[in-house]
Amino acid sequence: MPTPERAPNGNWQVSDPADKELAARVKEGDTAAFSMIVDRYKIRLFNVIYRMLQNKDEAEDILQETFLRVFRERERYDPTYAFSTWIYTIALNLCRNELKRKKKFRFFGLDLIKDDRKYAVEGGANKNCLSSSLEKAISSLPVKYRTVFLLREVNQLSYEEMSESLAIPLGTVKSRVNRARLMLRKKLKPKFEEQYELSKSSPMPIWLL
Amino acid sequence: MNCRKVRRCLFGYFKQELTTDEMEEVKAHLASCAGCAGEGEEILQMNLCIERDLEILTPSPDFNEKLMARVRDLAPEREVREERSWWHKLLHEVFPSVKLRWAAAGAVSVVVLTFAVMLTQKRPEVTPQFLSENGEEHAEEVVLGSPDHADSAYQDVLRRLAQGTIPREGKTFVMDNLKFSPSRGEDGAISPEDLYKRFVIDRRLEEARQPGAQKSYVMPVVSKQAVSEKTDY
Repeated sequence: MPTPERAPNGNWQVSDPADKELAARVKEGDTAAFSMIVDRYKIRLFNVIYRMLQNKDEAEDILQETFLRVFRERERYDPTYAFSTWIYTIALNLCRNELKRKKKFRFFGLDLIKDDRKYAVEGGANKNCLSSSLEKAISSLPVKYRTVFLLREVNQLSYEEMSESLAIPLGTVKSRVNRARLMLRKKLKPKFEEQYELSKSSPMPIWLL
Repeated sequence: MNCRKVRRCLFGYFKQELTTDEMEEVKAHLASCAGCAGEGEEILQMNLCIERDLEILTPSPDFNEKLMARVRDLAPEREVREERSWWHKLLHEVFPSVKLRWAAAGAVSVVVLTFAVMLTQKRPEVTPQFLSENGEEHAEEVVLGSPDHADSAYQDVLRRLAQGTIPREGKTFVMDNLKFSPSRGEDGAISPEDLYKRFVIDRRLEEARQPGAQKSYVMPVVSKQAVSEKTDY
Protein backbone atom coordinates (compact mmCIF):
# COMPACT_ATOMS: atom_id res chain seq x y z
CA MET A 1 0.00 0.00 0.00
CA PRO A 2 1.46 3.37 -0.89
CA THR A 3 1.57 5.70 2.04
CA PRO A 4 2.44 9.35 1.98
CA GLU A 5 5.95 9.87 3.08
CA ARG A 6 8.02 12.85 3.66
CA ALA A 7 10.87 13.16 1.24
CA PRO A 8 14.19 14.48 2.55
CA ASN A 9 13.24 17.94 1.35
CA GLY A 10 10.17 17.84 3.56
CA ASN A 11 7.64 17.59 0.76
CA TRP A 12 4.86 15.10 0.80
CA GLN A 13 5.29 12.51 -1.86
CA VAL A 14 2.39 11.10 -3.75
CA SER A 15 2.75 7.85 -5.59
CA ASP A 16 0.82 6.39 -8.51
CA PRO A 17 -1.86 5.67 -9.54
CA ALA A 18 -3.28 9.13 -9.88
CA ASP A 19 -5.90 10.37 -7.45
CA LYS A 20 -8.46 10.84 -10.18
CA GLU A 21 -8.07 7.27 -11.34
CA LEU A 22 -8.59 6.06 -7.79
CA ALA A 23 -11.54 8.39 -7.36
CA ALA A 24 -13.12 6.94 -10.49
CA ARG A 25 -12.71 3.47 -9.06
CA VAL A 26 -14.15 4.57 -5.73
CA LYS A 27 -17.16 5.92 -7.60
CA GLU A 28 -17.88 2.38 -8.70
CA GLY A 29 -17.73 1.27 -5.09
CA ASP A 30 -14.19 -0.13 -5.18
CA THR A 31 -13.18 -0.30 -1.52
CA ALA A 32 -9.60 -1.28 -2.32
CA ALA A 33 -9.13 1.97 -4.23
CA PHE A 34 -10.79 3.81 -1.38
CA SER A 35 -8.37 2.23 1.05
CA MET A 36 -5.49 3.52 -1.10
CA ILE A 37 -6.92 7.02 -0.93
CA VAL A 38 -7.18 6.70 2.82
CA ASP A 39 -3.55 5.69 3.08
CA ARG A 40 -2.53 8.49 0.80
CA TYR A 41 -4.32 11.25 2.65
CA LYS A 42 -4.73 10.21 6.25
CA ILE A 43 -1.43 11.52 7.55
CA ARG A 44 -1.58 14.78 5.64
CA LEU A 45 -5.11 15.48 6.78
CA PHE A 46 -4.51 14.29 10.30
CA ASN A 47 -1.65 16.73 10.79
CA VAL A 48 -3.80 19.65 9.73
CA ILE A 49 -6.90 18.54 11.61
CA TYR A 50 -4.98 17.82 14.78
CA ARG A 51 -3.31 21.20 14.76
CA MET A 52 -6.66 22.84 14.19
CA LEU A 53 -8.47 21.05 17.01
CA GLN A 54 -5.59 20.38 19.39
CA ASN A 55 -7.05 17.09 20.44
CA LYS A 56 -6.03 13.71 19.15
CA ASP A 57 -9.29 11.83 19.64
CA GLU A 58 -11.34 14.57 18.11
CA ALA A 59 -8.92 14.83 15.23
CA GLU A 60 -9.29 11.10 14.57
CA ASP A 61 -13.06 11.37 14.66
CA ILE A 62 -13.03 14.22 12.20
CA LEU A 63 -10.59 12.38 9.99
CA GLN A 64 -12.82 9.35 9.99
CA GLU A 65 -15.86 11.47 9.24
CA THR A 66 -13.95 13.07 6.38
CA PHE A 67 -13.24 9.75 4.71
CA LEU A 68 -16.75 8.45 5.35
CA ARG A 69 -18.12 11.52 3.70
CA VAL A 70 -15.78 11.05 0.75
CA PHE A 71 -17.13 7.54 0.35
CA ARG A 72 -20.76 8.47 0.83
CA GLU A 73 -20.61 11.45 -1.49
CA ARG A 74 -18.26 9.83 -3.97
CA GLU A 75 -20.61 10.39 -6.87
CA ARG A 76 -20.62 14.09 -6.24
CA TYR A 77 -16.92 14.42 -6.90
CA ASP A 78 -16.36 16.37 -10.11
CA PRO A 79 -13.17 15.11 -11.77
CA THR A 80 -12.59 18.44 -13.49
CA TYR A 81 -11.25 19.59 -10.12
CA ALA A 82 -8.31 18.13 -8.26
CA PHE A 83 -9.26 15.36 -5.88
CA SER A 84 -7.02 16.82 -3.19
CA THR A 85 -8.99 20.06 -3.29
CA TRP A 86 -12.21 18.20 -2.75
CA ILE A 87 -10.99 16.13 0.17
CA TYR A 88 -9.41 19.16 1.83
CA THR A 89 -12.67 21.08 1.45
CA ILE A 90 -14.54 18.32 3.25
CA ALA A 91 -11.98 18.02 6.03
CA LEU A 92 -11.73 21.77 6.57
CA ASN A 93 -15.50 22.23 6.65
CA LEU A 94 -15.80 19.53 9.28
CA CYS A 95 -13.02 21.18 11.26
CA ARG A 96 -14.69 24.53 11.06
CA ASN A 97 -18.01 23.11 12.27
CA GLU A 98 -16.29 21.32 15.10
CA LEU A 99 -14.53 24.49 16.19
CA LYS A 100 -17.81 26.41 16.05
CA ARG A 101 -19.49 23.74 18.18
CA LYS A 102 -16.72 23.89 20.73
CA LYS A 103 -16.94 27.64 20.84
CA LYS A 104 -20.67 27.44 21.52
CA PHE A 105 -20.10 25.06 24.40
CA ARG A 106 -17.47 27.31 25.82
CA PHE A 107 -19.88 30.22 25.58
CA PHE A 108 -22.41 28.33 27.69
CA GLY A 109 -19.75 27.61 30.24
CA LEU A 110 -19.52 23.94 29.44
CA ASP A 111 -15.88 23.41 29.04
CA LEU A 112 -15.75 20.33 26.90
CA ILE A 113 -12.51 21.31 25.37
CA LYS A 114 -9.96 18.68 25.99
CA ASP A 115 -6.76 20.27 25.06
CA ASP A 116 -3.85 17.99 24.66
CA ARG A 117 -1.40 20.24 22.98
CA LYS A 118 1.30 18.40 24.84
CA TYR A 119 0.61 15.26 22.85
CA ALA A 120 2.67 16.38 19.96
CA VAL A 121 5.54 17.49 22.11
CA GLU A 122 5.56 14.50 24.40
CA GLY A 123 5.03 11.99 21.66
CA GLY A 124 7.75 13.36 19.52
CA ALA A 125 11.25 12.07 19.33
CA ASN A 126 12.35 15.48 18.11
CA LYS A 127 13.57 17.35 21.08
CA ASN A 128 16.07 19.44 19.21
CA CYS A 129 15.57 22.86 17.72
CA LEU A 130 12.36 24.60 18.54
CA SER A 131 9.73 22.07 17.74
CA SER A 132 7.77 22.54 20.95
CA SER A 133 7.86 26.33 20.75
CA LEU A 134 6.89 26.05 17.12
CA GLU A 135 3.96 23.82 17.94
CA LYS A 136 2.81 26.22 20.62
CA ALA A 137 3.18 29.23 18.37
CA ILE A 138 1.18 27.59 15.59
CA SER A 139 -1.61 26.64 17.92
CA SER A 140 -1.85 30.21 19.17
CA LEU A 141 -2.50 31.60 15.69
CA PRO A 142 -6.10 32.64 15.01
CA VAL A 143 -7.99 29.89 13.20
CA LYS A 144 -8.13 31.49 9.77
CA TYR A 145 -4.41 32.17 9.78
CA ARG A 146 -3.58 28.81 11.28
CA THR A 147 -5.56 27.06 8.54
CA VAL A 148 -3.77 28.69 5.64
CA PHE A 149 -0.42 28.41 7.37
CA LEU A 150 -0.76 24.66 7.90
CA LEU A 151 -2.00 24.04 4.39
CA ARG A 152 0.81 26.01 2.85
CA GLU A 153 3.80 25.34 5.09
CA VAL A 154 3.08 21.87 6.38
CA ASN A 155 1.06 20.30 3.59
CA GLN A 156 2.65 22.28 0.75
CA LEU A 157 -0.58 23.03 -1.06
CA SER A 158 -0.42 25.52 -3.88
CA TYR A 159 -2.17 28.85 -3.49
CA GLU A 160 -4.64 27.82 -6.16
CA GLU A 161 -5.50 24.59 -4.37
CA MET A 162 -5.96 26.50 -1.13
CA SER A 163 -8.14 29.08 -2.79
CA GLU A 164 -10.38 26.35 -4.17
CA SER A 165 -10.48 24.27 -1.00
CA LEU A 166 -11.31 27.22 1.23
CA ALA A 167 -13.48 29.06 -1.31
CA ILE A 168 -11.47 32.21 -0.70
CA PRO A 169 -10.05 34.48 -3.44
CA LEU A 170 -6.44 33.81 -4.40
CA GLY A 171 -5.24 37.24 -3.28
CA THR A 172 -6.80 36.79 0.14
CA VAL A 173 -5.14 33.43 0.55
CA LYS A 174 -1.75 34.87 -0.34
CA SER A 175 -2.03 37.78 2.04
CA ARG A 176 -3.29 35.53 4.83
CA VAL A 177 -0.39 33.16 4.39
CA ASN A 178 2.08 36.02 4.54
CA ARG A 179 0.35 37.48 7.54
CA ALA A 180 0.41 34.12 9.30
CA ARG A 181 4.12 33.76 8.62
CA LEU A 182 4.86 37.20 10.00
CA MET A 183 2.74 36.51 13.08
CA LEU A 184 4.57 33.28 13.68
CA ARG A 185 7.88 34.95 13.14
CA LYS A 186 6.99 37.55 15.74
CA LYS A 187 5.99 34.89 18.25
CA LEU A 188 9.11 32.86 17.66
CA LYS A 189 11.59 35.69 17.46
CA PRO A 190 12.49 35.65 21.18
CA LYS A 191 12.96 31.88 21.08
CA PHE A 192 15.25 32.08 18.12
CA GLU A 193 17.23 34.87 19.65
CA GLU A 194 17.53 32.90 22.86
CA GLN A 195 18.99 29.97 21.05
CA TYR A 196 21.12 32.20 18.94
CA GLU A 197 22.51 33.90 22.01
CA LEU A 198 23.14 30.55 23.66
CA SER A 199 25.13 29.35 20.75
CA LYS A 200 27.08 32.58 20.57
CA SER A 201 27.83 32.87 24.30
CA SER A 202 28.78 29.28 24.88
CA PRO A 203 32.49 28.54 24.62
CA MET A 204 31.79 25.30 22.88
CA PRO A 205 29.80 24.76 19.70
CA ILE A 206 26.17 24.14 20.52
CA TRP A 207 26.14 20.60 19.18
CA LEU A 208 28.69 19.58 21.86
CA LEU A 209 26.55 20.74 24.74
CA MET B 1 12.56 48.67 -1.86
CA ASN B 2 12.93 49.86 1.70
CA CYS B 3 13.63 47.63 4.70
CA ARG B 4 10.00 47.54 5.79
CA LYS B 5 8.79 46.26 2.46
CA VAL B 6 11.67 43.81 2.10
CA ARG B 7 10.93 42.28 5.49
CA ARG B 8 7.37 41.67 4.46
CA CYS B 9 8.57 39.92 1.31
CA LEU B 10 11.28 37.81 2.92
CA PHE B 11 9.17 34.68 3.37
CA GLY B 12 8.01 34.87 -0.20
CA TYR B 13 11.60 35.43 -1.26
CA PHE B 14 12.87 32.26 0.37
CA LYS B 15 9.90 30.27 -0.91
CA GLN B 16 10.46 31.75 -4.37
CA GLU B 17 6.92 32.99 -4.60
CA LEU B 18 7.75 36.51 -5.78
CA THR B 19 7.89 37.80 -9.32
CA THR B 20 11.29 37.83 -11.00
CA ASP B 21 11.62 41.59 -10.54
CA GLU B 22 10.73 41.41 -6.86
CA MET B 23 13.16 38.56 -6.34
CA GLU B 24 15.94 40.65 -7.87
CA GLU B 25 15.08 43.67 -5.75
CA VAL B 26 15.06 41.71 -2.51
CA LYS B 27 18.29 39.99 -3.45
CA ALA B 28 19.98 43.32 -4.11
CA HIS B 29 18.70 44.72 -0.84
CA LEU B 30 19.87 41.75 1.21
CA ALA B 31 23.34 42.11 -0.25
CA SER B 32 23.55 45.67 0.94
CA CYS B 33 21.62 45.66 4.24
CA ALA B 34 23.06 43.69 7.15
CA GLY B 35 19.91 44.05 9.28
CA CYS B 36 17.62 42.54 6.68
CA ALA B 37 20.20 39.86 5.89
CA GLY B 38 20.20 38.87 9.58
CA GLU B 39 16.42 38.77 9.59
CA GLY B 40 16.58 36.64 6.46
CA GLU B 41 18.96 34.27 8.18
CA GLU B 42 16.51 33.78 11.03
CA ILE B 43 13.60 33.29 8.68
CA LEU B 44 15.56 30.63 6.87
CA GLN B 45 16.17 28.91 10.18
CA MET B 46 12.49 29.08 11.00
CA ASN B 47 11.56 27.59 7.65
CA LEU B 48 14.09 24.85 8.19
CA CYS B 49 12.65 24.21 11.63
CA ILE B 50 9.13 23.94 10.20
CA GLU B 51 10.23 21.62 7.44
CA ARG B 52 12.47 19.44 9.56
CA ASP B 53 11.34 19.52 13.14
CA LEU B 54 7.60 19.85 13.06
CA GLU B 55 6.55 16.42 14.11
CA ILE B 56 4.57 14.28 11.69
CA LEU B 57 1.70 12.86 13.65
CA THR B 58 -0.01 9.65 12.71
CA PRO B 59 -3.50 8.46 13.57
CA SER B 60 -3.78 5.38 15.77
CA PRO B 61 -2.75 2.06 14.19
CA ASP B 62 -6.29 0.68 14.03
CA PHE B 63 -7.60 3.74 12.23
CA ASN B 64 -7.92 2.04 8.83
CA GLU B 65 -9.57 -1.00 10.32
CA LYS B 66 -12.22 1.04 12.12
CA LEU B 67 -12.85 3.19 9.09
CA MET B 68 -13.13 0.32 6.63
CA ALA B 69 -15.56 -1.47 8.93
CA ARG B 70 -17.81 1.58 8.84
CA VAL B 71 -17.40 1.87 5.08
CA ARG B 72 -18.40 -1.76 4.59
CA ASP B 73 -21.50 -1.15 6.69
CA LEU B 74 -22.27 1.72 4.41
CA ALA B 75 -21.57 0.10 1.07
CA PRO B 76 -24.04 -2.76 0.49
CA GLU B 77 -27.13 -0.92 1.64
CA ARG B 78 -26.37 1.91 -0.69
CA GLU B 79 -25.62 -0.31 -3.65
CA VAL B 80 -28.96 -2.09 -3.44
CA ARG B 81 -30.98 1.04 -2.95
CA GLU B 82 -29.33 2.77 -5.85
CA GLU B 83 -29.60 -0.09 -8.24
CA ARG B 84 -33.28 -0.48 -7.61
CA SER B 85 -34.06 3.18 -7.95
CA TRP B 86 -32.11 3.45 -11.18
CA TRP B 87 -33.80 0.42 -12.70
CA HIS B 88 -37.27 1.46 -11.60
CA LYS B 89 -36.86 4.95 -12.89
CA LEU B 90 -35.78 3.77 -16.31
CA LEU B 91 -38.50 1.14 -16.57
CA HIS B 92 -41.25 3.49 -15.52
CA GLU B 93 -40.06 6.19 -17.82
CA VAL B 94 -39.82 4.05 -20.94
CA PHE B 95 -42.91 1.89 -20.36
CA PRO B 96 -45.44 3.79 -18.30
CA SER B 97 -48.24 1.17 -18.44
CA VAL B 98 -48.26 -2.44 -17.26
CA LYS B 99 -49.49 -3.71 -20.65
CA LEU B 100 -46.61 -2.03 -22.40
CA ARG B 101 -44.17 -3.59 -19.97
CA TRP B 102 -45.57 -7.06 -20.69
CA ALA B 103 -45.37 -6.44 -24.41
CA ALA B 104 -41.75 -5.33 -24.05
CA ALA B 105 -40.95 -8.43 -21.99
CA GLY B 106 -42.53 -10.60 -24.71
CA ALA B 107 -40.56 -8.88 -27.45
CA VAL B 108 -37.33 -9.25 -25.51
CA SER B 109 -37.92 -12.96 -24.91
CA VAL B 110 -38.70 -13.57 -28.61
CA VAL B 111 -35.45 -11.85 -29.56
CA VAL B 112 -33.51 -13.83 -26.97
CA LEU B 113 -35.05 -17.12 -28.13
CA THR B 114 -34.29 -16.36 -31.77
CA PHE B 115 -30.70 -15.67 -30.92
CA ALA B 116 -30.48 -18.80 -28.81
CA VAL B 117 -31.77 -20.95 -31.67
CA MET B 118 -29.42 -19.29 -34.12
CA LEU B 119 -26.48 -19.82 -31.86
CA THR B 120 -27.18 -23.47 -31.19
CA GLN B 121 -27.63 -24.26 -34.90
CA LYS B 122 -24.62 -25.90 -36.38
CA ARG B 123 -22.68 -23.55 -38.51
CA PRO B 124 -21.94 -24.72 -42.02
CA GLU B 125 -18.49 -26.21 -42.00
CA VAL B 126 -15.85 -24.89 -44.24
CA THR B 127 -15.16 -27.63 -46.70
CA PRO B 128 -11.60 -27.94 -47.77
CA GLN B 129 -11.05 -27.31 -51.39
CA PHE B 130 -10.08 -30.18 -53.55
CA LEU B 131 -8.51 -29.23 -56.76
CA SER B 132 -7.66 -31.57 -59.49
CA GLU B 133 -4.50 -31.12 -61.43
CA ASN B 134 -6.31 -29.18 -64.08
CA GLY B 135 -8.01 -26.98 -61.54
CA GLU B 136 -11.46 -28.62 -61.61
CA GLU B 137 -13.25 -28.96 -58.36
CA HIS B 138 -14.29 -32.34 -57.12
CA ALA B 139 -15.76 -33.65 -53.97
CA GLU B 140 -15.55 -37.36 -54.41
CA GLU B 141 -13.32 -37.88 -51.45
CA VAL B 142 -13.49 -35.49 -48.57
CA VAL B 143 -10.79 -35.36 -45.99
CA LEU B 144 -11.53 -32.68 -43.52
CA GLY B 145 -8.60 -31.00 -42.08
CA SER B 146 -6.80 -27.91 -41.19
CA PRO B 147 -3.01 -27.47 -41.22
CA ASP B 148 -3.00 -28.83 -37.66
CA HIS B 149 -4.70 -31.98 -38.76
CA ALA B 150 -2.71 -32.50 -41.91
CA ASP B 151 -0.76 -35.29 -40.40
CA SER B 152 -3.71 -37.30 -39.07
CA ALA B 153 -5.59 -36.77 -42.33
CA TYR B 154 -2.61 -38.05 -44.20
CA GLN B 155 -2.32 -41.07 -41.94
CA ASP B 156 -5.98 -41.75 -42.50
CA VAL B 157 -5.61 -41.78 -46.26
CA LEU B 158 -2.53 -44.00 -46.07
CA ARG B 159 -4.51 -46.41 -43.93
CA ARG B 160 -7.39 -46.44 -46.38
CA LEU B 161 -5.02 -46.95 -49.29
CA ALA B 162 -3.64 -50.01 -47.53
CA GLN B 163 -7.14 -51.30 -46.80
CA GLY B 164 -8.17 -50.62 -50.37
CA THR B 165 -11.22 -48.72 -49.22
CA ILE B 166 -10.43 -45.74 -51.36
CA PRO B 167 -12.10 -45.89 -54.72
CA ARG B 168 -9.59 -46.94 -57.27
CA GLU B 169 -11.45 -45.09 -59.96
CA GLY B 170 -11.46 -41.34 -60.25
CA LYS B 171 -9.06 -38.51 -60.36
CA THR B 172 -6.17 -37.33 -58.33
CA PHE B 173 -7.11 -34.63 -55.90
CA VAL B 174 -4.85 -32.27 -54.17
CA MET B 175 -6.05 -30.96 -50.95
CA ASP B 176 -5.17 -27.38 -51.15
CA ASN B 177 -5.54 -26.18 -47.61
CA LEU B 178 -3.44 -28.83 -45.98
CA LYS B 179 0.13 -28.15 -45.43
CA PHE B 180 2.67 -30.81 -44.92
CA SER B 181 5.68 -29.47 -43.16
CA PRO B 182 8.18 -32.16 -42.35
CA SER B 183 9.64 -31.93 -38.91
CA ARG B 184 13.36 -31.43 -38.75
CA GLY B 185 15.86 -32.53 -36.13
CA GLU B 186 18.52 -30.38 -34.54
CA ASP B 187 20.93 -31.01 -37.40
CA GLY B 188 18.29 -29.82 -39.84
CA ALA B 189 17.63 -33.25 -41.26
CA ILE B 190 14.08 -34.34 -41.97
CA SER B 191 12.95 -37.22 -39.77
CA PRO B 192 12.81 -40.67 -41.44
CA GLU B 193 9.03 -40.87 -41.03
CA ASP B 194 8.48 -37.56 -42.72
CA LEU B 195 10.94 -38.51 -45.45
CA TYR B 196 8.86 -41.56 -46.09
CA LYS B 197 5.65 -39.48 -46.23
CA ARG B 198 7.24 -37.15 -48.69
CA PHE B 199 8.42 -40.05 -50.74
CA VAL B 200 4.95 -41.57 -50.89
CA ILE B 201 3.36 -38.29 -51.77
CA ASP B 202 5.78 -37.57 -54.53
CA ARG B 203 5.59 -41.04 -55.95
CA ARG B 204 1.81 -40.95 -56.02
CA LEU B 205 1.88 -37.58 -57.66
CA GLU B 206 4.37 -38.71 -60.25
CA GLU B 207 2.32 -41.80 -61.05
CA ALA B 208 -0.73 -39.71 -61.44
CA ARG B 209 1.03 -37.39 -63.81
CA GLN B 210 2.10 -40.18 -66.14
CA PRO B 211 0.32 -39.80 -69.48
CA GLY B 212 -2.45 -42.30 -69.66
CA ALA B 213 -2.03 -43.34 -66.07
CA GLN B 214 -5.00 -44.63 -64.19
CA LYS B 215 -5.63 -41.93 -61.66
CA SER B 216 -6.92 -44.11 -58.97
CA TYR B 217 -6.16 -42.67 -55.60
CA VAL B 218 -6.55 -39.67 -53.45
CA MET B 219 -3.68 -37.45 -52.64
CA PRO B 220 -4.13 -35.99 -49.23
CA VAL B 221 -1.53 -33.42 -49.66
CA VAL B 222 0.18 -30.56 -48.98
CA SER B 223 0.24 -27.07 -50.28
CA LYS B 224 0.67 -26.52 -53.96
CA GLN B 225 4.10 -25.24 -53.24
CA ALA B 226 5.04 -28.39 -51.35
CA VAL B 227 3.72 -30.54 -54.17
CA SER B 228 5.66 -28.77 -56.83
CA GLU B 229 8.84 -28.86 -54.81
CA LYS B 230 11.31 -31.48 -55.87
CA THR B 231 12.76 -33.17 -52.88
CA ASP B 232 16.03 -34.96 -52.53
CA TYR B 233 15.67 -38.11 -50.53
